[in-house]
Amino acid sequence: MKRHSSPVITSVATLASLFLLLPQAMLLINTPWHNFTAIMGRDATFQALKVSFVSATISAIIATILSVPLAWRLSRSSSRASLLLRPLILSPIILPPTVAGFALLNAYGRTGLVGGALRTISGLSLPYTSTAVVIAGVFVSMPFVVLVLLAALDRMPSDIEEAAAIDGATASQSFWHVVIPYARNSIAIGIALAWTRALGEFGATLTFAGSLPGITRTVPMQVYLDLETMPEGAFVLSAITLAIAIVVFLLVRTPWLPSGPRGRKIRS
Amino acid sequence: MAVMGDQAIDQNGAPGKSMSKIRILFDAFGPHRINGPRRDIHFRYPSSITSRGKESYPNWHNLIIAKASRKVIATAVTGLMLVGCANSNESPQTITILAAASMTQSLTEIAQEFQQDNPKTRIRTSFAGSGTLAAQVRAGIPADVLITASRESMLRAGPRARVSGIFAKNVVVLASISSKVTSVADLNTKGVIWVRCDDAVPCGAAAKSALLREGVTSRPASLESDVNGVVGRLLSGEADAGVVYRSDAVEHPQWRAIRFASPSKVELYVSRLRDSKSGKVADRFVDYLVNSGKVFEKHGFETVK
Repeated sequence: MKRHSSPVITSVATLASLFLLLPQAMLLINTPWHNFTAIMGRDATFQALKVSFVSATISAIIATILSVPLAWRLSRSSSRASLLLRPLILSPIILPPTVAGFALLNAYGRTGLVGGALRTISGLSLPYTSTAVVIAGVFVSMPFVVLVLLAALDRMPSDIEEAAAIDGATASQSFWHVVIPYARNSIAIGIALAWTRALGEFGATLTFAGSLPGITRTVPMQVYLDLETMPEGAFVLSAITLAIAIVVFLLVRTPWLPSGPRGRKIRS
Repeated sequence: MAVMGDQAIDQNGAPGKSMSKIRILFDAFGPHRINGPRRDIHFRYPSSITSRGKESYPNWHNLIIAKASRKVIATAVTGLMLVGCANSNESPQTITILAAASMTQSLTEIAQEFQQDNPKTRIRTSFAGSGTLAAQVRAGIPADVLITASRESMLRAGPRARVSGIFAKNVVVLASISSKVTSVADLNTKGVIWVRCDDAVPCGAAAKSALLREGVTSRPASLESDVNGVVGRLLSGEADAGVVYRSDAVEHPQWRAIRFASPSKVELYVSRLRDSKSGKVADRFVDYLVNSGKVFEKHGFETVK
């Protein structure tokens, strides 16, 4: 069935999609497929993938666990303080990643407020550890999860909670059995967003955690280095990352997840 | 043209066979509309000038002329813009230099002096890692001069770059900002955080060999992708020591610069790119550069006699 559209809109849409698809297509075309497994098995590539995946997964889980109560409190509270708090909490979204890393150093680095205290007390310092990679990942991805959750929770009608309260639910029961199931689609989307954001993080992780293979060097850092010396490695890593991005987005749209087609669209 | 496909509805107005196929496809991939499309509106938009279009549009010839002239105007404007852009920054007296990051301060000074001596010349500089620059030149970036910190990068830049000689050398030193590190051997002490460049970049390869020769066995906390990364760690206080170039140590006299017993050097190559549009000026600049030994020595480089 033909949908009516003006030629202008159609051509802009076509140009826009070509603009986005062409670089990705060229990436896949220029990847050295004949050497693919050899390069993928290379230590540097394998370690970068391991660091990225493990830290991104942990970051996504921590970010979501921290974000749900935060988004809940932010959406329910209407005080002026919380109105000011919203843009501050969401600000890492627009912070340039290197600035975010710099900010993390100032707080949790060796010479930072918390980090310096930590170092004085226990001699441990956060930068250059895998923990730092996770922290950087949480810092940049949490605002996205909060954003998505706020979108859902702001729209939640208060009758549902009131009904639960009338039926005798405590605040905690209400949170676990009413709010979270209501927002479960947003939580799922939030986890996916946090995961992909943490996977793609470069500037903040580099500045805060450093770049050591097997410990703190993530896929974007390895690609950056490979661009200088061994472009085939950069191609292989980029192809793998692209494939993962496509798989993640396909998964989020399947009927098996509540947000996919033919899923129930009543909930947010 | 009717809103629905011509074959979709048979004579009695009931959905025909092709309609059901379309509907299945639509349900699977198309948008979901509860009531279906609006059938009370009859669009008269000519998607092409067909015979039907002519009936709906009595002024179709005006439309064609309008469309054609629009296309002609658009092409002319685009052409003019492209020609204009191509000519705008390409005055024969502008040269573009791509240089390794370690040359930042010294090349800027030399470029300023050259521009003072040759007032009609403008010099544009771009600093990045040698490997990145080589990849850019190979991909065809418009530039006139390329300066890299290793022969490999110059070779990797492809046929545009004529491999010339070495015009300066840079030595790696250990820069320390903490009292915990006063000699190279202190790097082996537990709890010392030190950084260097990755093996894959010139500064890192030199650092690695120098450190190996002095018996440093401890692991660096981070392997940066260029020397400016190491400099950044020292400036922010996140590392106790780092292996940098002597030219960087000269720029930051507040650091303690510790020499290696058998130092490793990095050789700087310069090449005037073959397809440079400002060839004569670029050649003159390369000569000027090669003869600027004093400036290089001032910035901590070693000159080649």
